[in-house]
Amino acid sequence: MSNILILLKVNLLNVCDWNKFFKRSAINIKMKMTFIILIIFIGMSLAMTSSTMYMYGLGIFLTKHHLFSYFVPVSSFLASLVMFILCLYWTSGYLLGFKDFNLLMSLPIKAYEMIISKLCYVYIVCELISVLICLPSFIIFGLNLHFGFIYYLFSILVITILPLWPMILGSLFTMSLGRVNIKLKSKKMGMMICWIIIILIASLVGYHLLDSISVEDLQTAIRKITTIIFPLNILKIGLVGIHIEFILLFMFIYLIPFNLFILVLSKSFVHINSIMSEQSKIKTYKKTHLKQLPIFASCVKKELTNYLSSFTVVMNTSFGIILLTFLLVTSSLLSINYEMILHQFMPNDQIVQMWIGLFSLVASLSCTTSSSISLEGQNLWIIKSLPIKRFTILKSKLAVNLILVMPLLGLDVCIVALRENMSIVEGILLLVIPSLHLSNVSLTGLLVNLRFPKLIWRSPMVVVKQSLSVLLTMLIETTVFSLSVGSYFIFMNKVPFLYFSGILIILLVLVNLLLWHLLKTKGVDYFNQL
Amino acid sequence: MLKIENLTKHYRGGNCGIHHINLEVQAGDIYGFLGSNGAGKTTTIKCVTGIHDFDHGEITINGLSLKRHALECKQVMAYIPDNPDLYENMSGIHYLNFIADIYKMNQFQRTEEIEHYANLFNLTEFLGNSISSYSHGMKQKLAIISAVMHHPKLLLLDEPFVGLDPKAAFELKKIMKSLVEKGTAIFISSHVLEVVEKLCNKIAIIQSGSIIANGETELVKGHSSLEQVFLELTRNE
Repeated sequence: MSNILILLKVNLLNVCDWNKFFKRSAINIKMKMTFIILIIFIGMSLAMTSSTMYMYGLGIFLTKHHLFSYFVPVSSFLASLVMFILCLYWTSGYLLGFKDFNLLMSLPIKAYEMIISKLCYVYIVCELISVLICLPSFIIFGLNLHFGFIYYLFSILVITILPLWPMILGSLFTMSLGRVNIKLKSKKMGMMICWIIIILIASLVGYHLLDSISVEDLQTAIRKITTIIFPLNILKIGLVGIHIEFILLFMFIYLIPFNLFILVLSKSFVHINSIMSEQSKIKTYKKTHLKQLPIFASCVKKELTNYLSSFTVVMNTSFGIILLTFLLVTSSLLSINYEMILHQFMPNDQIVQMWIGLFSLVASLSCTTSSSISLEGQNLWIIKSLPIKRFTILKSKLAVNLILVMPLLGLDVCIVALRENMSIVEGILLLVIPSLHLSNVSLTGLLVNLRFPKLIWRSPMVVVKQSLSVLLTMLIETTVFSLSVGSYFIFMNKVPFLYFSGILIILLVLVNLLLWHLLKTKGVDYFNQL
Repeated sequence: MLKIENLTKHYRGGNCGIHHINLEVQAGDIYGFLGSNGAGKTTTIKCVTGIHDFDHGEITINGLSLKRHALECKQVMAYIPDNPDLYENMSGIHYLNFIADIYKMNQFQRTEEIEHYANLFNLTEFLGNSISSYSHGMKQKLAIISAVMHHPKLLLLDEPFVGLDPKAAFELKKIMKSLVEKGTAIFISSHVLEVVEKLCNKIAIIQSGSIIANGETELVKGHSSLEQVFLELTRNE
């Protein structure tokens, strides 16, 4: 077996824990694994259904504008865009500063084999996105034009190789980040600066694009995009006309650069990682004034220090609120008139509701608590052996989520309320409803993590991206959010918005109180059992 | 100071951890806890520290039941684990300050104690660095400082000499003797039988989760060396 296959096998065994499922006889472990598989299956089915609906809608939209022949390139472009954004912040966790670097370096394994084994995770997730977005659209397109077997075979090939270019670009960004990092004293600071620059560029480009494209010149815009990103045009010609030579050219454009890229990357990969794995330069400690804090404050400080010191954790748990704040602040500072764009799509009397919905969604997805117990990992003995009340520990974890998100949410509310000339009542609703969603997700995340902790891990990334508690919390919160939005649409013509908001606030407060009670009783019990 | 009565713990999945453990560590004792790998030493110590729950029995610390008065019990004890997994992203000084906050040490006391012990273990200049940059031995030293700086009445040590350099091991032994003179009770598990033989006035040997020998060191080992007695008692394992 080649080294790559061995590494892939070991990685998959580590991630999926198949040994537990097949070799251990304990029924509860098998039940848990079956439950996880079931949750993933349900989640994927829901996502596939939603994606098919959206793609069907996109197909109708494109047909209306006589652009149906661009259906495949447009969906491939959308999938590539999503994969690219994901790769931008995912690849750094896999290619830089990974835990088993020393072990792998001590083994007779080539650098490119290491890179492929590390990028395997990224490829799997990108492939899922590629399937989710492209498969429904390719099938809809094929069915409409009555294509045969060859078309579907080509489609599968295209969907399989589509993640390669986003992965190349994501990895290039990551390695550039690594190069900046090894030159800076503070690695975390380097990461942060690079990210801020990227978001700034992306937001400016995004505003510019949104500003310049209108529905009337959509045809020109799509044609421009497919001309600039020429593989999309090749794909269109190849799939619409079933031209094998164009499909082969498309595959060539994806496969050859990827292989070349891996070979080139392998040189800097080892260099950057070996510098990053070196111990930081020793600075002599000078006696400082040690401030005494109450136990709760000290626990919160400890939680904040640990949370903020992990770039991966910050980016994966608070990305939404950071991005939203950044976009709102930059658009205000640069006087970018997003209202014009928004008001094109939304009726004026729905703007407040739209912002409340957006803020609530972002708050619902800003959850640090769903991985906070798991992140204690091997350090759990410290808080368990210290004289701290269990509930104080849990409260400190809740406080971190609120401390991190609430100020940003408050700032966002102020910006939007001022720019949209909202009344005081609308401003209060804009703050209160998302805040309640935030406390709801904090409590739910903590309870779920206490019930399904993952205390043994090699990298915090595994906990914040792949653990069951994070996925479950997201599923629960998306359901709560969807219920809130769904009930609004059901009652929007029957109940005035103010009354609806009042009822929603009361319901959310009740849910929060129930969750608080559960945390105080069941949550503490779960913690004792860890 | 520490009384363990009939302590029994089963692991999930039915594995028997420890059963019917009875021990009493008094103030001024250095109680050695010996056993082969997997015999149940760490499990026993983790039950005493409150990290693991237990199924049956009673643990009393300073006259208080651990189950009913966990906070009060933990307030008077300290624990040094076999593998010092500390908060890697904190600096050494921040970690010690956090522990000092939890034990409500005042500013003067914490400054004095940290300075004293950090100098003793040659760790002062590294205190500002992130714990992730520490070697295993440095982490062990930090764990020791965090455990002794608040003068616990009961000190639980699980393989404390692993990874320590000879000077640090010597200092630790000195600290243990000094604490015992002030009335602290020490319960220590170790595989270094020579150290246990010299340091401990009482010994317990655990095998497959049960105590097989217990009492004054001189009585347990008789005229043989501790190594001979240990090998003799555990040869059937």
